[in-house]
Amino acid sequence: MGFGSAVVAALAAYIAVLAFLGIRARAARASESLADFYLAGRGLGGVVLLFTLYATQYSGNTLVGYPGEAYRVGFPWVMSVGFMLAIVVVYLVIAPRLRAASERHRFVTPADWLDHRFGDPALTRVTNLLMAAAIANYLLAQLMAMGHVVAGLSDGAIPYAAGVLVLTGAILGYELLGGLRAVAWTDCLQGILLAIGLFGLLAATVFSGESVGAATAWVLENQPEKAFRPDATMQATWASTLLLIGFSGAVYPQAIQRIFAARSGASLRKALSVLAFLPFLTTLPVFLVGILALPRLSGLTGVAADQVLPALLRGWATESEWMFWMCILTVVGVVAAIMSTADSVLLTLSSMLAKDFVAPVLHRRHGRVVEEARITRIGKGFSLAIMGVLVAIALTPRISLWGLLELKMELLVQAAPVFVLGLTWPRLSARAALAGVICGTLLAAGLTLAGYGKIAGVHAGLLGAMLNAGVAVAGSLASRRRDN
Amino acid sequence: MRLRRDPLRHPWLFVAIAALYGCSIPWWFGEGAPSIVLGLPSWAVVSLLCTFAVSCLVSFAALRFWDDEES
Repeated sequence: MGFGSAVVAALAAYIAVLAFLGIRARAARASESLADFYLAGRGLGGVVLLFTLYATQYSGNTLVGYPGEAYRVGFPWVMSVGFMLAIVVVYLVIAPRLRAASERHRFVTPADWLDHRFGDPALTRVTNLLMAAAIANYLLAQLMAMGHVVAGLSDGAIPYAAGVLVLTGAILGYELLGGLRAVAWTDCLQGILLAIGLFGLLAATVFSGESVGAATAWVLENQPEKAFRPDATMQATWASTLLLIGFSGAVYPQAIQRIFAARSGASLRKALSVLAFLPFLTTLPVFLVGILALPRLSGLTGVAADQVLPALLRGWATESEWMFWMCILTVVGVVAAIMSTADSVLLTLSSMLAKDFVAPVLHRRHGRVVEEARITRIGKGFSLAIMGVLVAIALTPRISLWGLLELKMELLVQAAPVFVLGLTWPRLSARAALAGVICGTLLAAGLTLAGYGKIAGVHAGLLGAMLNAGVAVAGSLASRRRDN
Repeated sequence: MRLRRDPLRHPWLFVAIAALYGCSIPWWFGEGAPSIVLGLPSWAVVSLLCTFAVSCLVSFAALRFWDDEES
């Protein structure tokens, strides 16, 4: 069996299992309520919660974009281990208080907490819009990754467009059937496959006879700037990336919904205590793959560098039968990682659009509270519409995956001060927080659009977030003084 | 449900995490070719060790400094 045919067969079997899990999740539903569909009835236990947080956090960007970035940047990309961990550090700041408040007030979307904390519709709307725009971008990155991976790894047996369309259809199928319950169950399968895939990747690396030491020696000889201590600008970018990814990654709306969906505080604590070590089992091997690619592949730049992992796997698969099957496992693991992030983002995005944007309009128009079952149906309609629009965009890719991820982070990090300060500083006022979000977003977007994505190595998004937090704190202190 | 224990009540924890992250960025490393340790440039190995220490601290804090059961 050729590599391409084996990939097609393995993916077909994987999609069949996903469909089965979707049907089982549908049968397990207790009602058509929002909490049942979007939060799995608030019943996620420690193991499922760990897998769903893991599968959601580690995505196509991690497995396809990051080897390409390690290939482009070299050893400074070891920062990726630290910045994935930084997300868990920020969880440690916000999750305990968010979880306790959610237990009392039964939140469904992040906007419910914003309403509860600030009671300011303008702040809720603006912050929600920012988060929705950012994760729509993130979802687009996942769809593009699905296409790249299956096209690159099936040896062209599945074209890019077919990969995007088939896997999008699979996600929509199980998600519309079972909501978060289906997504979390499939995340468990996808997390296990991801772990197996990474094991396969490590095994492929070891058995390919290539050693990291030899690759490092080659880099020192041929591209020394990638192995020497990074310069001051790269060091600033390193620090900036730690903060940018840490703060923005922790306020992913889909991650916040998982905090709401936890069965108990204990299950969330246990999940986070394990999640803190997973960058070493996930991001580190992926970084090493990018380093190993440096001597083996040459001349890849821009979008083509996203093909580093597929190119390596195709090469390794020809070396022995053992390597062949390890590479097939890796392919399925990578596809699983991408789909598990895409499904979570899609579910959260549809819940935000249906519950936070459409339901209040219907409420005002009809003068009564809209039934939850109806909002759930509207959310399912949004899932279909969102995927339709994003698939159309994904079929014309123009920028690399890491570029897409950075655009998302620039926006999402502007929501972080509202959550972090709102949870830790009682004096934060709604008006000051809103002024901060607007100033920060304008600065970050203005700099990015003007071509200043980084200034002295610091991301425009982080500069915006610093202004955002400064305005929020200064405004809150000033309004308090005025009130006194 | 109220928080009985909250990691934010242990500021030293976040100071230690910030210090470890600060050391994980190799500003302290000298110019020139790095020595190779475990197949990697030495500064990258130190960076990974600092990051691993952060993982241990975060995991410990999640289990010991956070309790939100009914009080």
